[in-house]
Amino acid sequence: MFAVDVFPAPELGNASFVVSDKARGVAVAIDPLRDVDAYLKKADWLGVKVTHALDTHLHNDFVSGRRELQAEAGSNIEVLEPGSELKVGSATLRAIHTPGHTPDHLSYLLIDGKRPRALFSGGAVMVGAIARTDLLGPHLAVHLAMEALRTLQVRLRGLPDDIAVYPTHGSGSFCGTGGRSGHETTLGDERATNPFFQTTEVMLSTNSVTPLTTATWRQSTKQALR
Amino acid sequence: MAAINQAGAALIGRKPDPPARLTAAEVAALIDAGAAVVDIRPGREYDRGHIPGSYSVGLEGPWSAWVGWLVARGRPIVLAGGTEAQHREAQRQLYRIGFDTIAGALDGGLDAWLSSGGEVSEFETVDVEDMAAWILSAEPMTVVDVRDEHEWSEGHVPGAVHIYVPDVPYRAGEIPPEAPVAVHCASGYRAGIAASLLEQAGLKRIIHVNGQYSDWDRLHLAETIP
Repeated sequence: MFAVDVFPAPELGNASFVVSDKARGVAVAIDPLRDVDAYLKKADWLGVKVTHALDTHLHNDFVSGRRELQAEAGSNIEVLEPGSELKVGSATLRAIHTPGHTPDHLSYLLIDGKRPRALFSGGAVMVGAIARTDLLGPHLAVHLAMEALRTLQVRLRGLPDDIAVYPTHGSGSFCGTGGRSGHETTLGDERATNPFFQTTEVMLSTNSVTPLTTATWRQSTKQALR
Repeated sequence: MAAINQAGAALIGRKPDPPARLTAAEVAALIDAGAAVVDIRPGREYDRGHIPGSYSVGLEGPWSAWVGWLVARGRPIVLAGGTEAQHREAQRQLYRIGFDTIAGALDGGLDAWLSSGGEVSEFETVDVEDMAAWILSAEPMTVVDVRDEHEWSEGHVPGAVHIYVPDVPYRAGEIPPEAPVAVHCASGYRAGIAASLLEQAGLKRIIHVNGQYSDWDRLHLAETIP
């Protein structure tokens, strides 16, 4: 049976995660920060080895701790290809291509007992928001906003409502567009309440998401820095 | 930071050494060599006495967000004030955003600085009510509102000058140097940061309004709404 530990970093508005299978003695770190002691302490406590360290996307707001985990714990830091899978004890992590916040963004779907259980969504799904799509420049912002909507409406469509969602970016994040605090939600809750899930018309979405990504980032910095 | 992640940041190890303890003389030499002193105490304590020209960024807020915004990457950073545990927290936050040039922390804090003959400067700390009384007295003064554009446009003190915190170093020249300058934000936190930036810019009589801007409304004072 898997367990998920959440490691919030309030000054960044982010969180990182350790998925572990205590019985099998293995764990995977997702979006680890550079100071890896907290993950390794947890792993020691559980008696597990952090076999892999994954990032959901190329981070622009913090230094990834993957290399640090490689050096300190011998974790494998190989990047998963979209569609490929990784065993975490009895469970499986599947990489899903979920572009929007960045073009190469991956979310990791945790499957246990042949059922999807949790999604580590990076910035693709946040609690009540999605992550900014304008960080790679205005020339890509609209394209990425469209990709972000396609991620929500198409790429994640087959997943059940009752799975847990663990977003890396939270409401105080520089990469966010507001939303609510916390780093755990469900896909069903987001489908019902997240305004980015409510938008389905493509033209409407270009009109609404472009101003949202530029105007609401100030809102999010305001929350972050107040 | 994406570039750092692509290239791979330097490894810091599982338990990095805490920031070096620096004597007042060493700190003075580092300042002469161009180091940035970041005082991590709450603004109210900073106001009572601080190293002239230091940055006031209280560790109780989103610390690395502001330090990362205001201090150039690569510039040596000296921590002032606070406990050793807080120095470690500050160091952790800086490592997380790839600011590795932490020269150390002033050993013994401001007491050590003072007893070694170091100069200190002070700000006045006032509440919103005091600022209001001053404005109504019609004595010459400049009110600087360092909140962001959104907050400013929702209503502000009549006659105030709007300079968002990170713009203060570039626009401090617009403030008349002969009159006192009162700086406020929404809570007092960002005003404390901005007050230290005004001192760096050469302003002499700086008043840190350390209170809730919502008090302005509570006192039934008029706002300008652009």
